[in-house]
Amino acid sequence: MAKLRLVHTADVHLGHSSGAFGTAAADHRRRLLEAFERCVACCTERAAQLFITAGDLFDSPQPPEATAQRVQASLRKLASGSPPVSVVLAPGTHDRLEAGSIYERWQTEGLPPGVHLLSIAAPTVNFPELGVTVTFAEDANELRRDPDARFNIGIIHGSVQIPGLVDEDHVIVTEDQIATSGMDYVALGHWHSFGDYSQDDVVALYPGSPEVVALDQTSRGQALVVDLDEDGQVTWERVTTGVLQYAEQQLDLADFRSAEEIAQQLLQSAGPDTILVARLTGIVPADLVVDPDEILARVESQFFRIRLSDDSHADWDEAASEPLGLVPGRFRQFMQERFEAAESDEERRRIEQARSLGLALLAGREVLP
Amino acid sequence: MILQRLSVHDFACLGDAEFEFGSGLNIIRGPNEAGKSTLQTAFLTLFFVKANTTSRDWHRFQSWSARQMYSLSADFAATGRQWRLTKDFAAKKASLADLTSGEEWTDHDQVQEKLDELLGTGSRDVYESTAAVRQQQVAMLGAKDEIGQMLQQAISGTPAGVSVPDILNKLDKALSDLQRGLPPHHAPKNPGPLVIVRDQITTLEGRLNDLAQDRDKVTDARRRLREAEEELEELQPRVEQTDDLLQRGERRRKLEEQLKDIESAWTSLHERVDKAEGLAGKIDEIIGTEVGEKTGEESAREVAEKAAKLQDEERQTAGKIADIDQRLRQTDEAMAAAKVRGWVRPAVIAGAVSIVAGLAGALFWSPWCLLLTVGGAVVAVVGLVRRAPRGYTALLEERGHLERDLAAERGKLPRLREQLADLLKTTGVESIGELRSLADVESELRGTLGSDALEELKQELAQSAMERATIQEQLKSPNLAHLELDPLKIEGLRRQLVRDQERHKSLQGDQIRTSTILSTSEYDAEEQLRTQEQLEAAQERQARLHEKETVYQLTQEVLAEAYQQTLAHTTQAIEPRVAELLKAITQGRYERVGVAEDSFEPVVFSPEKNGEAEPGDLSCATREQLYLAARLALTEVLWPDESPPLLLDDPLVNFDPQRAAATLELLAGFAQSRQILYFTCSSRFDEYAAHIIELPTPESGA
Repeated sequence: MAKLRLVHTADVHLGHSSGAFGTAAADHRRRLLEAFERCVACCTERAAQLFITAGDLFDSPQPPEATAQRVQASLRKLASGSPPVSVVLAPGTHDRLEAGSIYERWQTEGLPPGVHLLSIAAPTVNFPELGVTVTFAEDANELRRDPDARFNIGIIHGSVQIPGLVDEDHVIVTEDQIATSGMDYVALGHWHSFGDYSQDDVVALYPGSPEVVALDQTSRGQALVVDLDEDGQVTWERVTTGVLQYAEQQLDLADFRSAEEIAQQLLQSAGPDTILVARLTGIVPADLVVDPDEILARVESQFFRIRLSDDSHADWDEAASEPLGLVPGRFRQFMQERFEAAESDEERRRIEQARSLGLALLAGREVLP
Repeated sequence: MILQRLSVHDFACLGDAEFEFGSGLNIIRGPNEAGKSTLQTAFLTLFFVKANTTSRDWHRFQSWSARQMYSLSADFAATGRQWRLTKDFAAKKASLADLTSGEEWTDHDQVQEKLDELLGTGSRDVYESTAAVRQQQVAMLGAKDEIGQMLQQAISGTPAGVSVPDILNKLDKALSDLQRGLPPHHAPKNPGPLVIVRDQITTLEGRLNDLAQDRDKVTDARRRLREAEEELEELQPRVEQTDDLLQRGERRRKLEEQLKDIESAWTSLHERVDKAEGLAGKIDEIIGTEVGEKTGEESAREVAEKAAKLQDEERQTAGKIADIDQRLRQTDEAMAAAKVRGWVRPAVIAGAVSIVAGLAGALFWSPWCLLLTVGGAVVAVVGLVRRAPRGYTALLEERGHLERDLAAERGKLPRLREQLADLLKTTGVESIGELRSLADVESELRGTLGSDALEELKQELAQSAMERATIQEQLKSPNLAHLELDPLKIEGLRRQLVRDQERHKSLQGDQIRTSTILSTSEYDAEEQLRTQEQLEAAQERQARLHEKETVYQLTQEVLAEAYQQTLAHTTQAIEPRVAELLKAITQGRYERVGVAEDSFEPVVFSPEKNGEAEPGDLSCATREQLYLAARLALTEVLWPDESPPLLLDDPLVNFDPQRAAATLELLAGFAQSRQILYFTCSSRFDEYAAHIIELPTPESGA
C-alpha cells in the first residue's frame, strides 16, 4: 500500500528580533535558523516526500537577506536531492505575501524547482507523482477535496476557535470546518506549541515552533513527521528540533538571607541552552536588600537567557515595632503615608524601593554604589 | 518589658548559668572578667539574633569546652503577659511562648517580629542606640559638640558611626554620580551612567535611523529594479515589433520604388525593342531578301554600305574634278598676270642706283642729292611691292600637274559610276535615293539600338520583366502584403519607436543604477536588528537608572524630612525633662538646659557664668552627666508607656560620690516604671538596687 510521509513545521520566525532576548538576540536568531535546518534534515533522515511550512517561516515580510538566502539554499538542496523532496511554503501573519516581501521577490525571481509557494491567488499545487494535492486557505470553507488525488492536504495559518478562550483572530478555523474540510490532513500553523485539533476523520495538528521563539514558550521546539496511508490512516510523530530549554523558578524572598543565596538558587537551573524565567516574590526581610540587576549580572552568563522579575514586597508591618520618635520610625511612617496616597503601582513600587533603601542605609549597610 | 530570668547553656565564659532579674533597678555586679559583658551579649543575642543564623560571627560565643553551639532562654513579662523565649543555636530552633494564652511561635521570622514588637525597638541597632548607655560611649565625650552628635545618633537609631547627615550626603553623592554631566552641568571627562546611556541611545538612534534609511534605499532600489524589469519586459517586444513594422514598411517602400523604376525601364526598353524591330522590318522591306540571295553572304546592309561608299567616292571624285578645274582657271589667270609685270625688276634696280647716287652726292656734293636718294627709294619700294608672287614658270609647271590630275580623276569617275550602277543592280535598288532611304532607316535603327544589339535588348527586356515579377511577388508576401503604411503612420511609428527606445535606455540606466545601489549598499538587516535590540536594552537601562534616580531622590527627600521632624519634635519633648534630670544629678547646680533644634546640641545655664555654657565649657564629668540626663529623657520620649529593659554599663565611673549617689537615687526612681539592668564592678550602688545579681569571681590562673 502506497504511503505518503511528510514533515510539517510552522512558525519558525526566522530573523526574529526581540528585546526580551537582550544580548542573546543575535544568538537566538542563529538558533532559529539551525532548528529550521534540522527540520530540513529531518526530511532526508526520515525519507519524507513532502516538506510543508504552514506560515511564519520568517518573522517579517522582509527578513535579513543572508537568512533568506540560506533558507533558499537549504530548500533548493532538499528539492533537488536524491530522492527529491517536494517543498510547499505558505505565507503567515508575520511573513505576508505583499509588495516588497521576500515571497514576492522569490515569485519574481523564480523559486527553485520543486519548491512551491502557495497563496490566495494560487492556493493549490498537485504532485501527480505522489498523488497529493495541497491546498492553502485563509478561510477553511475554501478547502476543496481533489477527487483525483489520493491524499488531500490543507494548510491553514490561523487559530482554532475555542469558545470562551479563542474567539477572535486574524484567521479563525472552527472544529466544524475541520471536520467538513474533506482533507486527509490539515497542516495548521500560528500557535507556537503542539496542538491536536483533529475532528472526526480529519487530522489537524499544530507542530509548534521548531525552536523556542518567546521566553514564555515552555516546550522544546519540534516538528511533525506525518504518515498518510491510502486506507485513510494518519499517524504522526513529534520530533524534537529545538535545543533551547525552558525553566522556571519562583523564589520567595522570605526564605533567603542574601543576594548570594538567591543567585545560587537561580544557578540550580543554569545551562548554555537554558532560558530561565525567574520571579522574585514574597515579603522581603528587613535585612535583605535585593537588587535584581546585581543578581542578574552575577548569573546571566550561565544561561542562554534569564529573565528575572521582581514581584516581592517590603514588609510594611515591621514598622510597628519601631519607636516612632526615632528617625527610622518616622521615615517608615512618612513612606507609609506616601504609599497609601500613591496613585499607581509604579509609584507604590518606587516608594517600596525607597523605603527599603532608606532603612538599609539607616541600618548602616553599604547599599549605595 | 521586665526580664525575669535568663539562662545560658554553653555560652562563652558563662557556660551553663541562670540569672534571675526583677523589676526596677537591677545591679549586676562582678569583678573584671566575671562575665558582665558576656551576660549583656547573651541578652542581646537571645533577643536580636535568629537561631538559624548562618553568620560565623556568633560562633565565637560558643564555650571553648562545648562541642556544639549554645542555647539561650529567658522569661519576661510584657504587654501584661508572661512570656518564655528559647533559642537553640545548635538545633537552629526558636520558640516564643505566650505563657498567659498558651500561644507559641516557632518560625524564626515570626519569633523575631514578635520580639521586636514586645521590645519596642525594632532592631538591635535601635536598641543599642536608645536603650543602652555604655561606659565607653560616655568616656568618648570630649569635644564641645560631641554630645549633640551622639544624641543625634541616638535618635537616628543607627549603628555606631552611622549618622543621618552622612546618609543624606551619601545619597546626594550617589545622585550626583548618577546625574554627572546632565544639563545644566558641563560634560565632564567621566560622565555619569545617565549621560552615558543617554549618549548611547542618541548614537544608537542615529545609527538605527541611518540603517532605516539604507533599508528604505535598498527597498526602493529593489522596487525600482523590479518595476524597470517589468516595464522592460513589456517594452522590449513592443520596440522589436515597432522596429520590425518599420523595417518591413521601409522594405515595402523600397520594393515599390524599385518596381516603379523597373517598370519605367521596362516600358522604355519595350518601346526601343518595338521601334528597333519596326526599323529592322523596314530595312528588310527595302532591301528584301533578294539582296541576300544575290549577294550571297553579304547582307543588304553591307551592300547598302558599299553603295553608299561608292557614291561617296563618286561625289568625292566629282568634287576633286571641280576643284582641279577651279585651280586650273586660277593658274591660268596667274600666268596671265605674270606676263604684265615685267618692269618691276628694272625699276627696283634703278631705285637702288638712285639711292646710292643720292647718298654719294649728298656726301660729296650737295645735300640736295638726298632728293635723288628719296626718289630712288620710292621707286624701289613700288617695284618690290608689285613684284609677282610666283614665277610664271612655276605656274606653268603647276598647271601641268593639275591637268594630269584632272585627267586621272575624270578617268575614275566613269569607273565609279559603273561600279555604283553595278552595285545598285545587285541590290535591286532602283536608285541611289532608295539606297539613301535604307541608310537613313539603318541610321535610325542604330540610334535606337545604341551600342546594344536587338537581341541583347530583348534579353534585357525579358530580364526586366522577370525582376518586375519577382518584386511583385515579394510585395504579395504575407509580411509585406496589406502593409498599408502611409507616411503619417510611419512617422508616428518612428516617433513611438524613438520614445520607446529612449524609455528602454532610461530603464536600462535605472537597472544599472539600482543594481549598483543593491550591490554596493552596506545595509545589513542583521545589524539593524542588533542595533534595535541594543537600543531597547539601552532604553531599558535608562528607565532603570531613572527609576533608581527617582528612588534615591525620594529616599533623600523623605529621610531629610523624617530627620528634621524628629530633631524638632524630640528637642521640644526632651528639653524640660533633661533640665529636671540634670538638676537632680548635679543636685541643683544646673537647672536650666536648652537643646538646639538643628544640631541637638544641649546648652546649660551656668550660674557661675550667669549665662549659657556650651558642653565644652563644662567639666568632663558634667558633660557625661548632661549626656546621661539627655539619654534618660530620650527613653521617656521614645517609650512613654512600656520600655525595653534599659542597659547601663557602668556609665558613672567619672561621677564623684555625691553625684553618683544622686544619679543612682534618680535611677532607682526612674526604674519604677521601667526595668534597668545596671552592670558594674562596684558594690557602692547596692543600696539603691531592687535586685542584685552577683556574678562569681572568675577562677584564678592557678
